[in-house]
Amino acid sequence: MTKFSVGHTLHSSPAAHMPPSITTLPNEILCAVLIHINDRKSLYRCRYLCRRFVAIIADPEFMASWLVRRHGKYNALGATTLTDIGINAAWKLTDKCVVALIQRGGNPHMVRDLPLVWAATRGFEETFARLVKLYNPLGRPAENMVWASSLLNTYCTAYSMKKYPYSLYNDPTDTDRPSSPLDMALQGACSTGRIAIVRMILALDPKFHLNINSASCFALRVSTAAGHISIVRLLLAANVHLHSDVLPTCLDISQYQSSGSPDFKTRLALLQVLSAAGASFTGGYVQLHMLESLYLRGIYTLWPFLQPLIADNHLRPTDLAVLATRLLSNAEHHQAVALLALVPRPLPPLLHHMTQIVSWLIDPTKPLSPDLALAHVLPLHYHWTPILLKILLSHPSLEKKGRAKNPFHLPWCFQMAYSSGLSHNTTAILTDYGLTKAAADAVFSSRASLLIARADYLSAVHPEADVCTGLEHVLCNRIAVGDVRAVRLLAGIGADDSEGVARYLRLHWEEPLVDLDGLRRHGLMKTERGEVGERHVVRSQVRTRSMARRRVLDPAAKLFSPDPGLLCALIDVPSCRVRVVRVLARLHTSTVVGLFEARVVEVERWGWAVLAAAADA
Amino acid sequence: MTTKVTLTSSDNENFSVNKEITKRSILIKNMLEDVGKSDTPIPLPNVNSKVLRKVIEWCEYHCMDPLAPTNENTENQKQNTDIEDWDQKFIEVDQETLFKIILATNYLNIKPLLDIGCKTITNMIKGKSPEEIYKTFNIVNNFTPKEEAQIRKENKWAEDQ
Repeated sequence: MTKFSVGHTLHSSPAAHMPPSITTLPNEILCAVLIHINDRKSLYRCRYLCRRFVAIIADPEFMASWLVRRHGKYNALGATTLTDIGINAAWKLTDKCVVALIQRGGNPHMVRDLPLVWAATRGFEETFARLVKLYNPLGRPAENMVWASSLLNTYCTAYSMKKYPYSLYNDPTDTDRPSSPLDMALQGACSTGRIAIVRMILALDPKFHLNINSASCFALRVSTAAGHISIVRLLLAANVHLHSDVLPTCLDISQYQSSGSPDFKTRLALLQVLSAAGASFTGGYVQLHMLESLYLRGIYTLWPFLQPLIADNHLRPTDLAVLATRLLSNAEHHQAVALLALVPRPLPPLLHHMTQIVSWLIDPTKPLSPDLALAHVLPLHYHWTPILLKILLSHPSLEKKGRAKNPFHLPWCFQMAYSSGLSHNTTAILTDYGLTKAAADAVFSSRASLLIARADYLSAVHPEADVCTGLEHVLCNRIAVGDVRAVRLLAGIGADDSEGVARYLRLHWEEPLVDLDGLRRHGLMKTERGEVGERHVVRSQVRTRSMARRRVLDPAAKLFSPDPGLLCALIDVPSCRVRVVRVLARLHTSTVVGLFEARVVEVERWGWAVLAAAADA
Repeated sequence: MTTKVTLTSSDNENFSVNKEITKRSILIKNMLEDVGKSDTPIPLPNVNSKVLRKVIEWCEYHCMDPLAPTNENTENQKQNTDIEDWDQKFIEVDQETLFKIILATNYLNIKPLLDIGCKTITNMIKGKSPEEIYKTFNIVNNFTPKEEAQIRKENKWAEDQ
């Protein structure tokens, strides 16, 4: 296809026989020529020719004539609006052209009053005023205005908002549904910042039954998202309902900034206007990414705003801890203190750790125990642990001792660290300071060594009563790695992570046993001599089982073949004792007898219980 | 009984034409109504004899056609640039003559023939690059570089495939 381009200049040397120039023809003839061009693109390409063509095509009367010729006078208005509902619609019509279409008999109610919504969105004041005069609020019940919704949805995308609430239309009982196209016209004008149209709509007579809160307060939400602060003020003056989404929308400064997003200053101004009007985060949290964005742009300006948010628990402790870590990593220790001071007491455990860390950092003369610091850092966010650890290890009181000397001396603390699922960075830091996995596992050499390690740790952390003792955490970790000996030792000294143990029992024993029962009932399982728990016997032929479940049942997978030894070790965990006995009772007799014979389970202590549970099952 | 009307071209050539045929031109029709019964030749100072001859030829051929509506807002207007075979042959003239016929029909107010002339130009524009149109219609590009850039920007959508 031929590519059009501008910039061509006519041959400078006139030919012997030059054809007459088309520009000698009067405008009315040129109009008559152009009006016969069928499609918009070809018509617009004629603008490349010369200024006269540009002027003719820009003339609203010509454009109205062209549209009428193309669509017929009755349909021209509706058809034109339909082709112009995109946010970046290329078809730049003017207010005057649309007025000309109405004057020529265009039907203003085409496509369910789309012209009204469209004119408001485009800011065509004269057109809108005419359409409002022709609008009959009572003659038009609420109906599914797909095209108008589609028009508004383009702005939802532009401002990174949730989709326009189409679903409301499907529920006739929903009182929030738009009652008239006029509501949508208001929303359209709010989307594009047409303040004159908004004023016009808000000043309409009550007989128009305008509902400014329709579609979940879309008018206010979209004005906020688009940063049209003057319109927000107008809506507030009209007593718009402060939807709970308004402030989160206002603060939604995601990393991805769409082209339509307002700048940060506008957001701040909106925030102040809306907060002053009483908007709140009812039922919601400020997202972490919003806080981070605020921080990056200067949190201090928002300090007064942040205070009520924290006081009303609209910030998650984790997010606050991350924010405090950010401040600490930028050596803004006093700001971190101020931030944590805003949190109501008693502090959540996570923020208690954070406060302790901050107190060490703010006073370099205060001696720091590296073990304690580690204990405080570990419960914090996985991602931030190495950062805080680095900050703490560079504490002046430790620097004096020098890196060569291992500052850590509490083995239980090591064990807790390795049970936390350390990131590569954290592991590297700890290894650098001599805190190795072997040193951590040394606590399990005997029951006595374990008790001593814990006692040392507890005596060291005694002043900090809220510090996590880590017993449950370590137990959970040992169950996960299948360390039967360590589990026995831990259960023996009272470790009881009811949630972790229950999860293990459910996934590795109870659910597979139910599956086995099902398979057995349907004759699908090839049983040679055993049950689950006999590592080499059970083979499921059912391909539809999930992979995890198959691994449990299929020894070929060799991944999660449950170990009855580990199961028996858990019998000493008080909260799960009954469940373990029940599982044992459902195992094959030969398996249970084997366990009793090998003294994995004390028959004198547990024999009757297992027997009773078996009878019960 | 048919009466004749004399039309005088700009180069003073007289054409005796059937009165009914001249009524294809709204201008002549109105003039005849104004002057009533008169044998005075009607001067057409904007039309030369060559062009007037062509116009009369067209009017004679189409004398039986119903008169076309003059209102652009009529719903039955069709968007097409098709020209009937006879008219197609009729309008196969050099560009200068074509423009003169168009100007003459515009002056004489013969809408169907004006449409044929305009459609012919539209068909000449269709499918051509601006360079070709510049050459065909002897257009001088009178844009400033700034205007060119602006038009290119505004027309971007029309170039997207």
